Amino acid sequence: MWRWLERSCLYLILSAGSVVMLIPLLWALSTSLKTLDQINAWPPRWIPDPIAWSNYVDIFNKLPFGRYLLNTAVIVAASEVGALITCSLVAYGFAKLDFPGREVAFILLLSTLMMPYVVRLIPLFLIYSQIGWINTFLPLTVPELLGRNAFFIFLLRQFFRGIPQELSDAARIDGCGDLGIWWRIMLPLSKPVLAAVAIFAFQSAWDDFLGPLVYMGGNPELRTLAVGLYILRNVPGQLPMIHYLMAASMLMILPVLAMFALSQRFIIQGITLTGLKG
Amino acid sequence: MDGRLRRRGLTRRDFLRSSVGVWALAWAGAACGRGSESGVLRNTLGTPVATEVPVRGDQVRIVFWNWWGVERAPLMDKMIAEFHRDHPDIVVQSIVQPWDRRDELVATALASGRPPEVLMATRQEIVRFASEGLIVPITKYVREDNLDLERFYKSEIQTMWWDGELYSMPMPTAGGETGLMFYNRDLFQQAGLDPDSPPKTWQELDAVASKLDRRAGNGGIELMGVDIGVSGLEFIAWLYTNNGRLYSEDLKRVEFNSEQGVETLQWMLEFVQRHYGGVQNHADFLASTSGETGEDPFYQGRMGVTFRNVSTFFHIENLAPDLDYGVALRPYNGNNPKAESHGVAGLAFGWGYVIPKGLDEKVERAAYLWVRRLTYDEKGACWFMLQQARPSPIRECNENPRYEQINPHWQVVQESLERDVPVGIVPPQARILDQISQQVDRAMYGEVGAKEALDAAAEEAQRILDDYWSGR
Amino acid sequence: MSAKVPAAAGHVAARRTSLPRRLHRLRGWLFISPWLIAFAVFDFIPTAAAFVLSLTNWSGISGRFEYVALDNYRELLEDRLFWKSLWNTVYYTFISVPLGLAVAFVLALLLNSRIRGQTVYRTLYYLPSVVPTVAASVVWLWIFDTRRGILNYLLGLVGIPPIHWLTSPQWSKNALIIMSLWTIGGTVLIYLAGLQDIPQELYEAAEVDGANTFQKITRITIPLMTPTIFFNLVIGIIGSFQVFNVAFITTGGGPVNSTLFYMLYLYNNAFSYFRMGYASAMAVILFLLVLVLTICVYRSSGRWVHYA
Repeated sequence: MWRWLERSCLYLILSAGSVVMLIPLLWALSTSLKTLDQINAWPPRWIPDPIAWSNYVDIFNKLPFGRYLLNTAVIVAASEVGALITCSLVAYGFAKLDFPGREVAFILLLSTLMMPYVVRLIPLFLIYSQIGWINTFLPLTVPELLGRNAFFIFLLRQFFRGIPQELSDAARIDGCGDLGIWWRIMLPLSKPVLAAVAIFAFQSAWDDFLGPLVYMGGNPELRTLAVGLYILRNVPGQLPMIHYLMAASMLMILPVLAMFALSQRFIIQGITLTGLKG
Repeated sequence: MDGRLRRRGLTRRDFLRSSVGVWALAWAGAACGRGSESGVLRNTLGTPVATEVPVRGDQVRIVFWNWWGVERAPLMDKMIAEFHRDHPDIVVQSIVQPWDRRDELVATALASGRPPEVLMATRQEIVRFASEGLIVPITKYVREDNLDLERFYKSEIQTMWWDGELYSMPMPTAGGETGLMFYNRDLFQQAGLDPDSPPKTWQELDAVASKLDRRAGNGGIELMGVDIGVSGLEFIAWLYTNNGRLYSEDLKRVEFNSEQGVETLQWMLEFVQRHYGGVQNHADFLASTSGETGEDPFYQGRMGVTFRNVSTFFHIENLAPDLDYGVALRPYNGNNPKAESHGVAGLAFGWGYVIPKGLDEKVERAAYLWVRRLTYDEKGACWFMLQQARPSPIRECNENPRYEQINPHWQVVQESLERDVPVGIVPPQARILDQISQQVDRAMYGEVGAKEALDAAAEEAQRILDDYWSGR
Repeated sequence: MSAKVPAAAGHVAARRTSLPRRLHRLRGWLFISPWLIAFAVFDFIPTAAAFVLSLTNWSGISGRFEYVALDNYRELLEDRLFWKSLWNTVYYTFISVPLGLAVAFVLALLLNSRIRGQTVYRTLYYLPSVVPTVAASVVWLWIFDTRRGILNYLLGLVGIPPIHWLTSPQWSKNALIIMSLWTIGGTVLIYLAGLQDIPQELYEAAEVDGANTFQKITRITIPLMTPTIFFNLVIGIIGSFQVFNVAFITTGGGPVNSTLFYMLYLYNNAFSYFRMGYASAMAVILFLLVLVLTICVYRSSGRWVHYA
C-alpha cells in the first residue's frame, strides 16, 4: 500500500513539475504559429486561429539555414571531439597521475573560469587577429580540440577520481600503459558522465552566439544557426518578427533534445555492471 | 578484464572514428561551399545579387556592415546593384548583422584594426569614434563634390559634425524621435473630446488624461489615458518642451537641473501619481508588453495618447491597420511663455555611416561614394526611405507627393522635423544619460524628490564632463 | 596517488621504452599538455592582459592608453554602483546556489527512480535549459506579469496578493532567482550521472538492514555524491558571481538598479561607456574574490568529499 502511495506521489510531483516546465514552452510554440496581426491581439489567445504552419517554412526563405546548419556542424563536431577525447585525457592526468605541481595546475584550471569574458574578449581577439584566424573556423575549433574547457575537465576529473585505484593497478599489472588505462578502464566506467559531457558540448557549441558572431562576423558564409536565429530578432524600431523568432527557436531546440533523449540510456542504472568487485 | 564489461551499442572505437569522420566531413562541406570571391556577389541571404556589370577580382571591394535587417535586404540589394552599375569599379558587399551583442562586435572589429570599410554606427558611437581618432572625416570629399548640406534639416546634419569635421551624413533621421504625439481618435470621441483638436499644452494634456483614464477594480490601470513615459530619456524629451536643455552651447556644462528641469520632472512625478497611481502601476501595465512581443496597448486600444517615433506609421499599418489615430506635435508647457514644442534629434535615434582610418586612398574614396549614395543621392537616401514610408533627413525628399498619399499625417511629420533640436553629444554621453536615468528612476520610485534627484545627477554628470574636457 | 609499482611491472618497462623513474612521474604533464598549451596562449595572456589593463585608462577601442596606477581601484571603492552591484550579486549567489543545488538534487533523485517514462520526464525537465534566452525572456516577462501573469494567478488561488515581480526593487532579484531554477536541467543531469555510480548493492544491503528511504539517502547517497556536489558547488559559485544574461535581456538592471549585477555593470563600463580599464579593474576584483572563495571551498573539501 505504501509503495503504491509513494509511487503515485512521485508521478504527481513529477507531472506537476513538468507542467511548470512546459507552460512557457507551450506559449512560445503558440506564438510561433501566429501571424503578425494575431500577435497583438487582446486578450492574448493560446491557440492561434488560423494556425500559421507556414512560419516554419518562411524562415528558410529568409535566411540560408541549410548552410548555417553545415557551419554549425563543424563547430559542434570539434567541440565533441575536444570534450570527449582531449578533455578526458587531461582530466585523467589531473585525476590519476600524481605529478609535481598538480595542485597548482588544478587551481590554474579552475581560475580560467573566473575571469569575466568581457575583459578577455578584446585581448583574445587581438591574439587571433595577429595569427590570422579571424573570419575562419579556427578560433572556435582549435582551442576546443586542445581541450580548453575547464568545465569538462573539472567534471571528468571528479568522476575519474571516483574510480578505484585498484582497477588501474590491476590493468597496469596486465601490461597496460596510461593510455590503455584511460581507454579501457576510465572511459567504459564513465559512460554516464561522458554522456552528460557529450550533451553539454553539443548544446554549448550549438547555441554559441557570441563566438561565431565576433570571430566570424565578417564572413557571412561561415554563419552558424545561433547567429541566424538572432538576426530574426527585431532591431529596435523595426517590426517585431517574434513569430519567426519563436519558430526558429523551436527548431533549434529539437536536435539538442533528441541528443539528450538518446543519451539517456547511458545514464540509467542497472544496465551496465559497474565491475567494481575484483 | 574486458570480458566483465558489456559493450552495448556503439563501441568506443566506433565513436572515435565516426566523430572524427563527421568533423572532417563537415569541414570539407563548409569549405567547399565557399567561393564567392569572384564572379558572383552574395548578400546576407546567400543569394546572388543581380548585377548587370559582372563582378571581377580587381574591383574595389567595400564591405558594409549594417543593421537594416532581413526584411529590408531586398531594398538594399537593389541599391547595391544600381550603385554597381553607376560605379563599375566598386563592389559593395552588405552584411546584415544581428542586433544583439552589437557592442562586442563593433568593439572587437575596431580594436583589432579590421573593421569593415563602411560601418553603420549610432550617433553616440560616431562622436566616440571620432574623438578617439578611429574614423576619417569626410569633410574634404563633401567639399570636393560640392555637396549642398543645406538639403538636410539643420538638426539632422548638425548631429554628424564633431570638432569641426563632418564624419557622415544621416540616414534614417536622427529626428522624428520625440516630437510626435499619437492619439486614438475613437477613444477621444467616446470620452466626449474633439478628435480634431488634440491637446497642445501640458495642462491640456492633463485634462485629456483625466477624461480618458480608467482604473481597474484592483487599483491597477485598465485604460491608460496618456503615457508620458517615466524614464530619463522621456524626461529629456519633455525638458525640451519646457525651454530647457541638456548641456550649455559649448557642451561644457550640464543644464538639465535648471529651474525648467526641476519643473519638468516635478510635473512628470505629479502626473504619474495622479493618473497612474504611482510608477508601479505604470510599470505593471506595460511590463509584459515589451517591443519584443509586438503587443502594444496603443495598438490594442488600451491607451489614449502616446509618444512615439516615426517608425510607428509602418508598425500601425502592419500590426493594427484598423486603428483610427491622429498625429500632432508634442505638447509644451503652457505656463512657460518661452516654451515651444520641440522634438529632440539624436538622443537615442540616429544612424550614420563611418569609414575607418587606415584605408587605401582608392578604397577610402570608394567607401565615401557608397556613403554618399546611401545618405545624399536621390537614388539612395530618398528612395530607400520612401520604400519604408519613413521620412528622410533630406527636406526635399520628404516633399515627394507619394508620402502624402501613403500617410495622411505627413504634414505634421514634416513640421515636427523642422522643429527638432539636436541634442548635444559628448563622448561620455552614455554615462551621463545613465546617471540621469538612474536618478529619475529613484525619484519615480519615491526615494528622492525632483530637485534632489536632478542635482545629484547633475553633480555626477558635471564631474564626468569636467574629467573629459580636462583630459583633451 | 601513485601506488608503489609491484615488481611485476618490470615487464611493463620491458614492453615500453624504459624511462627513468623521475621522467615517468612527470608523464602527468604530458597528459595535460594540450590543455596547457591552450591555456598559455588563449587564457593566460588575455587574463594577464586584463590585470595590466586595469592599471590604465584604456577605452577598449583606441590604440592608446595611459598608465594610471591604482586610480581605477580607488574610483571603484567610491563608486556607489560598484557596491550596489556587488551586493546584488552576493545576494543572488547566496540564495540561488544553495537553493539550486538542493532542488536539483531532489529532482535528480526523483528522476532516477524506476518509473515509466523516465526518459520523457527527464527530457521535459531538461527542456527549459536549452531554450534560447531570447525566446525564454519574452515568456518570462509574460509569466511574471503582475496583473496577467500565471505566477500571480496561482498565488492568488491560495490567497496571496499580487506581487510586483519585475517592477519593484524588492522582488526583482527574487524573480530572477526563480527564473534560474527553471534552468537547473544541467545541474540535474550532472547529479544523475553521479547517481549512476552508486552501486545498487549498497542500497539492497541497507534495505536488508532495515533502513528507510531517508536513511538510505543520508547514509549512502549523499556521502557518495559528494564529489558531484563539490563540482556543482564550485561551478555554481563561479557561475552565479558572473550572472548576466537574463538580467541583461529582461530587466536591464532595473528597476532602480535592483538587478544591476556585477557583470552587468562591468559590461556597461566596458562596452557602453568605453572604459575598458575601469572594467578590467572590476574584473580583477571579481576574479580575486571568486578565487579566494573557491580555494576555501577546495581546501575544505578534504573534510567532506569522499572519493571512492
